[in-house]
Amino acid sequence: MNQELFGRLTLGLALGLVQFLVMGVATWCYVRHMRERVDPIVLRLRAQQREQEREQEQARVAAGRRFRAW
Amino acid sequence: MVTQSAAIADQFSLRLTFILFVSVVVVTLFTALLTAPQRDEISEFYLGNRDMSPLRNGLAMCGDYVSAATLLGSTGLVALNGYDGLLYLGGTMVAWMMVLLMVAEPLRNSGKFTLGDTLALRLPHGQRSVRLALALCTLAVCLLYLVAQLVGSIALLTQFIGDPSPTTRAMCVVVIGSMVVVYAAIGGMPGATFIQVVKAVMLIAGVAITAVMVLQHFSWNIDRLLSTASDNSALGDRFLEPGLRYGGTTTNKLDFFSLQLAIVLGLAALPHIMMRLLAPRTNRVLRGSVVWAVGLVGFVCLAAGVLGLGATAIVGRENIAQVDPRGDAAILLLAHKLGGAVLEALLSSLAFITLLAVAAGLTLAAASSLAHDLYSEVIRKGKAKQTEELGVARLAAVVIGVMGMLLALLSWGTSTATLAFLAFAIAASAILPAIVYSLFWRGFTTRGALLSLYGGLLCSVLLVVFSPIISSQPNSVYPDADFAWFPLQNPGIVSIPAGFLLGWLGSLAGGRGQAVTSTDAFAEFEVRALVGPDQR
Repeated sequence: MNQELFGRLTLGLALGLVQFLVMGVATWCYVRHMRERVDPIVLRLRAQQREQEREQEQARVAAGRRFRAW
Repeated sequence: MVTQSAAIADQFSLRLTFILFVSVVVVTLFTALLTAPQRDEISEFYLGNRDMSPLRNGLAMCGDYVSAATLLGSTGLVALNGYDGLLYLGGTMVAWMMVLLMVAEPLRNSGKFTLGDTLALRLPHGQRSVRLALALCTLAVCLLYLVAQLVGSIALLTQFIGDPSPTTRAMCVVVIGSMVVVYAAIGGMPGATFIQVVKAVMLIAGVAITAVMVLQHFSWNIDRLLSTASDNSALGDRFLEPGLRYGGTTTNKLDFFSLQLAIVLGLAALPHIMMRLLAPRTNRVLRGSVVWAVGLVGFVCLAAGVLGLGATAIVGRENIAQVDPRGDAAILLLAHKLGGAVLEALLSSLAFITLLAVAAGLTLAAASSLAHDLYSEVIRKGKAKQTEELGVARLAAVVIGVMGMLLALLSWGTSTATLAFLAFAIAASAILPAIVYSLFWRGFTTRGALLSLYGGLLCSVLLVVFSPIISSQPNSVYPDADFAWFPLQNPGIVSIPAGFLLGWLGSLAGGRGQAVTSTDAFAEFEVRALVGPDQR
C-alpha cells in the first residue's frame, strides 16, 4: 500500500482514485444493460397487460350486447 | 463533551454569514409557502412535483445525502487523518452504487408513498403489524439523524462565537428546529425539494470554487499538494499511509470495518432518501436521477478529498486540531486563508443551510411514515380521508420537530458524526434486511419481516447503549459510569448480520403454509417490481 508510484502518489491513493473510475464504468454498464436487456422486456410485459385488459373489456361488452339483444 | 474551541470568524465574516443565511432562508421559505400543496392532495405532500427533470431530482438526492456532518466532518477527517479519511470518502461512493444497482428501480416500481407500501404489497397478510414495526424503525432512524443535524448546528455556532452559553444553545436549536418544522409541515415535499435543490447548487458551486482555488494554489500539481500536505501534517510519510486513525489494535480495525459497513449499507435504507426514489413518475427518469446523484456525490467526495488535503497543506494539521480536535473547522479555516472573509462566509452559511435542508427532509420522511403507515393504515385501517391524513402528517412533523429539539438539547455534547453514523447503522440493521429480502427472496414471510425489523432495531440500540459512546470514556455521554462491554463505537458489524439472520430465521420458522402463499405474492410482486404501477 505504501509503495510510491509517481512522487508522493502511493499505491493506496492510486487505488482510491481507480475506485472512482470503476464506479463510473459500472454505472455506465448498468445503464446500458438496463436499456438494452431489461427495458424491452418491461415494454413487452406492459403491452401484454394492456392487451389482456382490452380483451376482458371486449368480452364484457360483447356479453352485455347479447344480453340486450335477447 | 463539546470542546473548548475558539471563535475563528471575524466580525465581518460573521455578519456576511448571517446575511447570506437569512436571505436564502427567506427566499426558500416563501417558495415553500407558495409551492405548498394547495388542494390538500396527499400525493403532492408526500412526493412533491413528480415531473421534475433527472438533473433536478439528482440535485435533490445529492442534497438529501450530503449533510453538514459530511461536508465539515469528512474534510476534517481527511485533514487530520490523511489516508484513513480518504478511505471514508470511498465508502460513500460505494453506498450510492448500492442504491443505483440494487434498490432504486424495484423500490420505485413497487412503492407508492412510503416503504410501508412496498412491504404491504409484498406481504399482504399481516401488513398492519409490518407497517407498525416499520414506522417505529423509521421514527428511530429519522429522530437520531435529526438530532445529529441539530447538534451539528450547535457545534457550528461554536465555531463562530466560541463556547455558547446554555441560553444561546437553546435559542440556536429552537430557531433552526422551528424553521425545519415550517418547511416540513407547511411546505411538504415541494418545499423540502426546493430548499434541497438550492442547497445542492450552492454546495456544488462552493465546494468546486474552493477546490479549484486549492489546486490553483499548488498550480494544479497534485504531487506538490500531497507532499506539502504530508510535510505540514508534522507526521511525515505516515500521513499518506493507512493506519493513522484506524490502525494499531484489532478493536480499531474492527471499528473501521464496522463504520464502513454501516455507511455502505445504511444509505440504501435511509427513509428520506427512499422518499426521493419514489417521486419520479417513470423509471427512465428515476434511473437518470440516480445516475446524476452518483455523479454529483462523486464530485463532492473528490472535492472534499482535495479540500481536506489542502487544509492540511495550507493551514497545517496542528492549527486545525487546535481549533477543534475533531477537525470540523478544517474547511472554514481553509476558506478563510484562501478567500478571506467572503469565501468563509459563503461556506459557513452553506453549512447552516445544509443542516436545515437535511433536517427538513428527515422530518418530512418521519412524518409521512407516521401519518401514512401508522395513522392511516394501522389506526384507521385504510379508511382515513386524504384531508385527515394530511392534517395528521402536518401535526406529526411538528411533534417530531419538537422531539428532535428536546433530544438535541439533552445530548448537545455528542459528536455529530457519531450520531449520524449510528443512524446509518440502525437503518442498515433494521430496515435494510426487510427491503432486500422482500425484493429478492421468495421465502420471506411476515414473521421474518417483524423479527428482522424489531430485532435489528433492538440489537443496534442495545449495542449502542453498551458502547463507549454512552459510558466509560471522557467524551461519552456518561463519562463517570462504566457499563461499556461492547468495545466498538459503531454497532454495524454485529447488528447488520444479526438483522439479516433474524429475518432469515423468522421466515424459515413460519411454517410451510405461510411460505406457499408468500410465494404467490412474490410472483405477483416480481412482475410489479419490473413493470411498475399502471401508468401511461
